[in-house]
Amino acid sequence: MFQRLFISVLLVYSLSGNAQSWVSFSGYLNDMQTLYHMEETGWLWENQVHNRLNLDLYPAGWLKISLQARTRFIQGNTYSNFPGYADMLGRDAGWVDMTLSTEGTYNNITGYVFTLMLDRAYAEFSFGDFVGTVGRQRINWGQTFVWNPNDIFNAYSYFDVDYPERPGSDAVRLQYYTGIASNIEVAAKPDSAGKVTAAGYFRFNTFGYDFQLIGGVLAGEDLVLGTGWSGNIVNTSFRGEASYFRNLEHFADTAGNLLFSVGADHTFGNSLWLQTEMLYSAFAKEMQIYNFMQLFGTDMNIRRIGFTEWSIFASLSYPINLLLNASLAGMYFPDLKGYFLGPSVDLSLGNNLKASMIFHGFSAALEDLQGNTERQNTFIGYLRIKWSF
Amino acid sequence: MKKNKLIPLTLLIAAICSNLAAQGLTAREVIEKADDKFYGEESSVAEMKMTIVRPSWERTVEFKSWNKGTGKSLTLITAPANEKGQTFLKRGNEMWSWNPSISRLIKLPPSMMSQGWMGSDYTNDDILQESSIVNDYTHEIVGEDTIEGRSCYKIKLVAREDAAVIWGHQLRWIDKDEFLFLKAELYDFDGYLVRTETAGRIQEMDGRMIPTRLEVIPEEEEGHKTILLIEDIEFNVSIPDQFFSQQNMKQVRR
Repeated sequence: MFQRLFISVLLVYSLSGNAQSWVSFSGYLNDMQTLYHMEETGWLWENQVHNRLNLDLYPAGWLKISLQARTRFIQGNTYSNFPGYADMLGRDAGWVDMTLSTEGTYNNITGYVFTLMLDRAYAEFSFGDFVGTVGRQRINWGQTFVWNPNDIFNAYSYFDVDYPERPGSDAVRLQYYTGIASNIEVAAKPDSAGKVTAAGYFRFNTFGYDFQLIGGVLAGEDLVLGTGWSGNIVNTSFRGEASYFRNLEHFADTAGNLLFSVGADHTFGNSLWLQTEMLYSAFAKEMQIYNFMQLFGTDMNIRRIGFTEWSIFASLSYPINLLLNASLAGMYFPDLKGYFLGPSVDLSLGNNLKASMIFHGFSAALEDLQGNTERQNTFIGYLRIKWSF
Repeated sequence: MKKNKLIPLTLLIAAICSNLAAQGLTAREVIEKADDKFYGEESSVAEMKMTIVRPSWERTVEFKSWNKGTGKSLTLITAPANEKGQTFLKRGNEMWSWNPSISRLIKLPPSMMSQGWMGSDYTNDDILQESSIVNDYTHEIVGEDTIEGRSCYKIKLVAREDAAVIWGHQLRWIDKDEFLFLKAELYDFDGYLVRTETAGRIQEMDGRMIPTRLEVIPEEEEGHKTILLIEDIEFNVSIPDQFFSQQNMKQVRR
């Protein structure tokens, strides 16, 4: 019995050691300490232990199966101070609920949330120029870096610093590659409420530019038409995305809403990287922001990627040496006379070990529920150590 | 979105792969012969490991790279863990990166492509290879030497007056049997030694003898060097043009 087990374990190891192994395993483990300061709550703290496991299987040349799990254990006095916080952390926005969550309190002030989520679970079939993908996957149609009006399947918040992978969609996707830099796609997903987002996508390359066209339905409610591009003007890259949304039920009696972002980025000879971007959101005209914590959240929706009509972004990033990178990001929101400031430092501690210090500061004139406008300041500091394997 | 520091590296790899081809012999003839030896290789597939050594630390990147002609390359990062799986596609003047963890394809601007790899001891000139050791220099055999037990020509290259090069002169040691470049000293226009390059661990790979360990040692900085190990290389492998595609960026494996 043991011998048989031993042999099968050995076999798995020997196969995975081959150049073209049929199994690949990776992930990371990190610990992040967060400090918040808001006027209404004062200082709050939180510690998060976060693990990611990625398992990719290649049982045949035409088939890939990917399973990726995100596990988090969060403790702190944020638990009792943000209403609905544990619910938000443990919510699965997908059609299939693939999240386990439990919560509790140590005392009246400090509590914990444990969540285990499968955020990728898909099978990918490749036959020549056709690629079909079924299951929870990330469909990323973004061209710009901060706000992505074309990213209708998995909208995300720029301010979520600890989730680069972003949530997945429970979708069916078929891609056909028509050339080395062009393809046609169709994709569809139901969300947790059963509302269907479905769209067609066409990507092509001409005159040194990548272009894309999108057409479909968002959450069974809105018609979506979009376009995006990436290219360069001399040595500076120039990217943009625009999407137009119009309610299907009230098609005749409502005007549509436009979202567009345009950005440029440039790397100087000394490796300094400068990036700028701006966003226009027609949806923001009807949005009300009471608190900066509204800008985070797992159920991010494409309609809410901007919360003021215009948003302006700029950032600088500079590698002081191979181990140390410093960057500074800023945003300006004219309607709120508000701004965001985000300096950060990344330090390499080893080939697979990295430390990051990130600071987020927000300040804006926000209207409360009683209609009084008052300047609110929020500060968040993150300290993270990450080990990748 | 962070700037990806691996981008210039992939260009460097493409340059090194074609540079392996450029290991030279006697004066101009020898240099030409060495340059010709691998010149015109249709394609190559290589696995490499690059280590940047500093007095108190070192960092290693590993990658596999497919090259065809001068215009097409695809590079897959195989280590370190947090960058593993990223790919870079270059076709002519256009370049893209694919990051599997965020499922994002990014078209890269030319300003990012002309960067030297921050932190390594290679320079922009190594990457862009705008100068030619055959045409931009005059050549003279100045002696003979033995390196790693192999008999070598020692050749002095002096920059031509009108050439746009960064080295005033160079000394190169070239193996007499295999026409392999085993050592180089690179001097600026004031005659100061700026950096030394050595090649060792000569092995048979894909039926030919090549140095598989290359080192770049800057003169001014104590304890600094960059080591490039060629773990495996194959020449003239048949690679279809469609291999260098966005579809394959997302699917290519080691």
